[in-house]
Amino acid sequence: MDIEEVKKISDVARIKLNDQEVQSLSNELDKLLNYFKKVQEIDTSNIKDSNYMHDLKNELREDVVVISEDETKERIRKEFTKENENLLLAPKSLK
Amino acid sequence: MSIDSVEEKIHQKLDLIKKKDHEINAFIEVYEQDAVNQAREVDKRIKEGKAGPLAGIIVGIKNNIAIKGKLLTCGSEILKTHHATYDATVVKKLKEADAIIIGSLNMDEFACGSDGTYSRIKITKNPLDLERVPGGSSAGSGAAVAAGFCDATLGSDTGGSVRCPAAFCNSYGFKPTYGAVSRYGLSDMAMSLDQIGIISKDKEIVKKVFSVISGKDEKDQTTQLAENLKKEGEIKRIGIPVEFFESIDGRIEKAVRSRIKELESNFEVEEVSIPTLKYTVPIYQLVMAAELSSALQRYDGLRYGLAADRNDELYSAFANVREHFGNEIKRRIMIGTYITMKEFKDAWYTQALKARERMKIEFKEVMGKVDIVAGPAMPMPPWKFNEISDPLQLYAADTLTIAANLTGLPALVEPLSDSIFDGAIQFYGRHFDDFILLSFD
Repeated sequence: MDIEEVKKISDVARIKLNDQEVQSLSNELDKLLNYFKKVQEIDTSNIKDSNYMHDLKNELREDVVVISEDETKERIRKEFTKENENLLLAPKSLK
Repeated sequence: MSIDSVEEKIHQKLDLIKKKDHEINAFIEVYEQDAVNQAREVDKRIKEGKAGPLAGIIVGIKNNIAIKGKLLTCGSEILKTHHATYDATVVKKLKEADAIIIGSLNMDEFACGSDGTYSRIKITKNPLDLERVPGGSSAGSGAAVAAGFCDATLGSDTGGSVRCPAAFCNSYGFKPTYGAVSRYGLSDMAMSLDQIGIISKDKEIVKKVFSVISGKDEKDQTTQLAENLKKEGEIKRIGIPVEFFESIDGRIEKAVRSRIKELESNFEVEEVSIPTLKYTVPIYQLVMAAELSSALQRYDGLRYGLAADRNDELYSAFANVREHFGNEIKRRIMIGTYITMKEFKDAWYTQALKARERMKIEFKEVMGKVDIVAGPAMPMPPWKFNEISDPLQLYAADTLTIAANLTGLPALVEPLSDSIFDGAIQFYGRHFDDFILLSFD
């Protein structure tokens, strides 16, 4: 994986990397993918892919509003990384 | 030594932790006052004859499982100061059953690692040999049991993270069938593989804890089949996959084979073959990395954890926070992102999913003929700190445990001797045969 590819993927993954990290990841990822390539040797013709472990069915439930206790709300608010008058403050998303 | 009350027992454990944990580093937090208060409550209920099934059992919890009001670090820099706002279903059930929760346990960052050294908080040592690793990623969960700090611990097992530390710390380690235990309140690593498991020196305690924490939970859809858990059944035939014995440490192979020999007097033992077992590591690494990179997208510095700078432009605000992931996490997110990109998906991710399906088919076929399969738990004994630094070598250590996650089957690790160098044996059972696996002897 070349330097430009590493930069492109880190951009997609939203991870800031310094130059040294880009360099070492370029080598490491090459080595790892080269080993993982073995997966392509496995005969998978006639096999369907699935993301799921068991055959599960959709289970629906009534849409009931559950009001959180004030204590829970307070706990969640305390975990906010930045707040403004009880509201979570986000970075600017419009220019 | 006889113990008259749960309160007395908890004080003994707390004293032991004070005396020894500064050397072992199993705990992230010890809930001293809560544990004593809880013990007093339980003593009261025992006197009234109203005690729950886990009364007096001292339990420690891996720090990626939510306990209301307590630190939930996931062994990471990003969540170092984050507190859980609710109880995980397993924690709620343990509390209701009168278990005493004594503290939270150290782990590799976001459960990624096989020896505990990827924790960003502290490095846990193996109580049985302080120069060696305790196994990972539930490093503290293995160490706390081996050191006698807890009767049982909970960990999470995505590729062997409960069974590896159990094997390295000479304890029983159990990964239930996928969907047998609710994951509500467990921080996701790879959602199709994660399952909460149990470590203890006593198999009966593993079984008791499993009885309490298993079952259907409306907060986790994947538990909808948990009602299928069989309480009883007979084991007659044991299959030994030949692939499990490739590249195994000699002393471990000897100990495992001699245990199998013992089993031959009570069971029909036969050699079997599951060809895709040769490919467990690449299949697992690809499926896991894809799911991990998706699961960790939530750590953006916006709502909780390390704070994003509000003056940064939106995307750089995220990227600047996510810079604080450790190297191993960065590697895995990069792989997961790469193999799920439109142009590479078919050759990598989809192929890995299909390979996993093939492995499931092969296991189903073999387990139609035998009731369980057996082999070593880990290919080598616990290594010394700094002995292994190559990621590929670390990944290879998981080679015998990950098939249980890829197939969703329950797996039990059982210690073989008092020495960490004899390793442990591992049994895989059929889906929802968990109680049968835990009762078999």
